[in-house]
Amino acid sequence: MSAFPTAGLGLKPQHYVEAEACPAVGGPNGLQDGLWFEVHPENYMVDGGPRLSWLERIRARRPLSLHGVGLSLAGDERPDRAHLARFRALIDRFEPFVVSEHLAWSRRGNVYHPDLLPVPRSREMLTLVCDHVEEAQEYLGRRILIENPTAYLPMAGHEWDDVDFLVEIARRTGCGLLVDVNNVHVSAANMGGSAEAWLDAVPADLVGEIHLAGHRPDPVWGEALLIDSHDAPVAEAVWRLYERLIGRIGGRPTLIERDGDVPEFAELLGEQARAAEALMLAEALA
Amino acid sequence: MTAFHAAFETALNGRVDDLWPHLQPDDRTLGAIAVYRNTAVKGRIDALEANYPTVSQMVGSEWFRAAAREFVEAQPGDDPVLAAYGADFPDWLARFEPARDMPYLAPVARLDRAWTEAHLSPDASPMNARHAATLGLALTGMPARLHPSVRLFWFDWTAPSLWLAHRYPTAGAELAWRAEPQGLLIQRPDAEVRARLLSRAEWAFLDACQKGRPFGAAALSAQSAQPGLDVPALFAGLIAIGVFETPLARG
Repeated sequence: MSAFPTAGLGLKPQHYVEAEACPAVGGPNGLQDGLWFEVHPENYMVDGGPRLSWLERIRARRPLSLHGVGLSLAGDERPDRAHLARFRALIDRFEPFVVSEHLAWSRRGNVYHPDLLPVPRSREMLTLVCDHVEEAQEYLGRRILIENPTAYLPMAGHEWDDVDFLVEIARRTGCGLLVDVNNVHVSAANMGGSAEAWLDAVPADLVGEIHLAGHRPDPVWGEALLIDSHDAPVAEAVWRLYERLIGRIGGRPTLIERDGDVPEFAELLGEQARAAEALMLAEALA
Repeated sequence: MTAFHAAFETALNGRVDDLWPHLQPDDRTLGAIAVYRNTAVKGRIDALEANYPTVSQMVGSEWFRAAAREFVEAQPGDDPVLAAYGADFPDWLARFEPARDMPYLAPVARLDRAWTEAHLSPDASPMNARHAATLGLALTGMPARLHPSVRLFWFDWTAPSLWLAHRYPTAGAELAWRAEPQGLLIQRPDAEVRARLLSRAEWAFLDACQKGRPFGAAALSAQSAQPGLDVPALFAGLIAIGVFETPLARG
């Protein structure tokens, strides 16, 4: 892996000022030297205004990743053309170093569900998802990464296991994978699998980015049902899984994701520094 | 269309029977379906509350979220761009029975919506005094163009003051609800959304501009709203706050 970008942060509007003030890449900034930012493009699909100008200023100093939540690639309808066009316009304007989406669906008919909904890993769904990923890549003019889903629901009709299904999508479409280590941990806890086995099985050459986030026990079911809530610090168990993964495949741009109960920027930088340290160590040992 | 997607969507709406054959149910299955349902509903309610902060402030978050739960069921939305979600909320609120004793809520919601529209509107450079001077007298015959962020309101009650007192607390607007006509301008000439009360003459001038009338006709409207008015001073004041775009030359 090249020296930049290393560990990044999900960019929140309440942190715009501090994010811009972080010294530019290439300075003697230690662990923040490789800092980068990621946003949901859906939050920037607007005509004008301060959101876009903030993003422009921060992009002028730091690498940026666009992580979509609205393409509905696992939906039973083709990706929305108007949405693809808005996405493409942001790619052309902000030149992200990576573009990613989810193995999930969120749109059906005239309804958008603000969630990442699951599908069974069946032949029918494989064809559907691959068609949509290919269409998205063609329209966006670039390779995208697909993030592994968080599992809550035991479904019938699986014909592949989780990793093999993602690998098959990548092999057929040429897309890469975004490995969300917290999703792997939460899914293994909810479904009774092994997070270690999952991470040991994912092919190194397909992984383009890693996500780390926090989770929470379900208010009713407690530890028997973990929720991928993104509203807490990264759990120690997830840090250990992360170190195991990069120990094997080497460093990858790694994002600290926090969407709820967002703390001070400095606190997030603490987690960012921890990931950057782990990446340095992984590179040194590689 | 697949049977799975149809069954899952039905389950999100509360009827899980069709989804059952697609699952290997255990004792947590209903809890797991609830995770998806709750995430989607919470996402919509969060977005609505973020888009209507003054309404939420006035009624309290608990009341707001209970009302929002009914709105998001009626209008779940079709766009992943949640900053635009809930355009019909003000109209819905006007018909919402539990809000009947709060007649100011719907107008306040309209102003929250206008704030969001101004916030996300296309960027444009306002016409400044130098541009206006360059055009000189020719301006009077030119159809006016308002800046794309401009939103104008005229109410028979003091919704503008009430909204300003909450949304811009340092501006000193009166926290009052009474039958008294008031105008309001919401605009974003640069990075920040601004809002201020409008006199009847200012409103008449800008309303004519919004209808695409020439500046000369807008001046006459202002004059008849307030006989004896210093129209050049009013026009200069409006130029100074950046509500116009430079008009397009004719032909």
